[in-house]
Amino acid sequence: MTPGPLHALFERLFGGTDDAAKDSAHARQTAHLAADLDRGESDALDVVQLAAYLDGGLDEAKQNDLHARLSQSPTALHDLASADAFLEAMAAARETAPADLVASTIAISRPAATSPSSPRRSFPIWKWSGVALAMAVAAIVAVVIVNRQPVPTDATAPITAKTVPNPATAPDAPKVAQPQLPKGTDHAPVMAGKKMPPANMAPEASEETMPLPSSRKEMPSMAPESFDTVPGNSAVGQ
Amino acid sequence: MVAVDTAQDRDVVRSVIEGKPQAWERLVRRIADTVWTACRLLCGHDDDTRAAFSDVMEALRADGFRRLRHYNGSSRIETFVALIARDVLAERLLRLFQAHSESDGWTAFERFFAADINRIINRRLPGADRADFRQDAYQDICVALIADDYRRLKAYRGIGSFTGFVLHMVDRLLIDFIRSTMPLRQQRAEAAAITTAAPEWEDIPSDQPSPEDALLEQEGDRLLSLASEVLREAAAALSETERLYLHIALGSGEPIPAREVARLMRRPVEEVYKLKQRVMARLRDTLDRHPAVKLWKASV
Repeated sequence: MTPGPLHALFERLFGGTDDAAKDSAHARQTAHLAADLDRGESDALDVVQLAAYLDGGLDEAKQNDLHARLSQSPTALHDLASADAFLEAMAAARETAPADLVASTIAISRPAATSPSSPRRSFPIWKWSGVALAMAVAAIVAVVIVNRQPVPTDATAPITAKTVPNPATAPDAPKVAQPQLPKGTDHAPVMAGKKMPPANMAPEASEETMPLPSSRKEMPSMAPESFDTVPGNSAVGQ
Repeated sequence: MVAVDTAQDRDVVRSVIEGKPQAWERLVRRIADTVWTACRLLCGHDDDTRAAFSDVMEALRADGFRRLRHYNGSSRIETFVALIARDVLAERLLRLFQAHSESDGWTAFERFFAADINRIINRRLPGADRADFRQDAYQDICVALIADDYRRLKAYRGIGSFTGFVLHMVDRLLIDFIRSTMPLRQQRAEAAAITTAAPEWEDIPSDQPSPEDALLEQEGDRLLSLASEVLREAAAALSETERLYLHIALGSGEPIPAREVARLMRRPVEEVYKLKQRVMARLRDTLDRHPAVKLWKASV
């Protein structure tokens, strides 16, 4: 006994005998064998490879690589067959794109076409934003420096205060006696050397006076420690 | 290697990426008809086609022409762009299902895949006398895809292309349909033929196969299982190109012409003939020494 029926089956399936096309069982047998041979692996062919393969743009080594992938993955083989049929259908049914749609695609796209990461741009937008930030920081620093109270180099020079604390701006602050300016000096600039009862501390009726800066050699009211601890003032106390 | 010169195509694409003036306009004018035809084939209606056209063009420009940057001149720009359009529209379709817009999604799905589903059905079920059978197969596949809230389509997890995933599933559903329906169909067709010849009530045969038919079918299934086993072993020993030939041949319900295999494999027809002979020789060899075949021989 020879495996005649099996030989005949394979001859019919792959050999292309004349009566095979008329064999009603052929479709069922190939479907059965195809399902049994399918290992269900999935592989994705990228567009560049697929287009190159279909246009005959792959060399033999790359074509063999692709055949290997197609032989392993029914998904990839179906994708290839579909792409091939699609290109064939496109060639048979080629149409001209509507002129208005082409024009609008060109017009709408023109401004944006150069915006995303064009290699010709030598100074991209994100760098400009960094420059703007740096300029803003520099402006703030400049304002701070200009407005900063300079430390007098002359210890005898009066220290002037730029602002006077306004109790009215702190409505929730505890009610304490406010310092009274001497009569006739309501709008005179507040001098650091002038006697000013410390807020929140001095009793309302305090009349204690401080000597004028010109009448003393030591730093007024700022250095509770010895002169030696204030840099640059060691000579003043001597 | 590619027969056509792609230097001009590469130049156009490079100019667009470099942001040269008028380059985008040149490219659009060059590819507009290709993109339009692709959208027309895959979307159908005019409004949908126009929207799809804009989507494809936008996709080409997205992320600093990311898709275009892959173009290396190994194919014509038209082929490359047509396949990108197909991918972009497949992704759009997938998003419809992911966004649970199933009714819109199904309409778009049929437009996109109808030609491919019919191609696969025609390939597996050739012949003018099978038109009804093919129609039934199409309906059966669509019902299976819609079933359980599109469970099969939603099972796509991004491995492989969505198009390949869907078409592979369609093929498996078709194979199931053929295997489950065809024997019954054949019996009914034979019964109908007998009925036409002898219209007497008493002569109308039953739908059930006769004991002889059942035995023959059983033997046929056994033979097919054995062939399947031999084929798997033979396929493991084939080269990758030979194995690819085998898969292509098994995708058809009739012997596939060598020129069609040659077209799909991008090889000369003469080479395909040689390929076929090598595959047949390997199958015969495996058949002659396969232990399961020896067992089968002993049993008959």
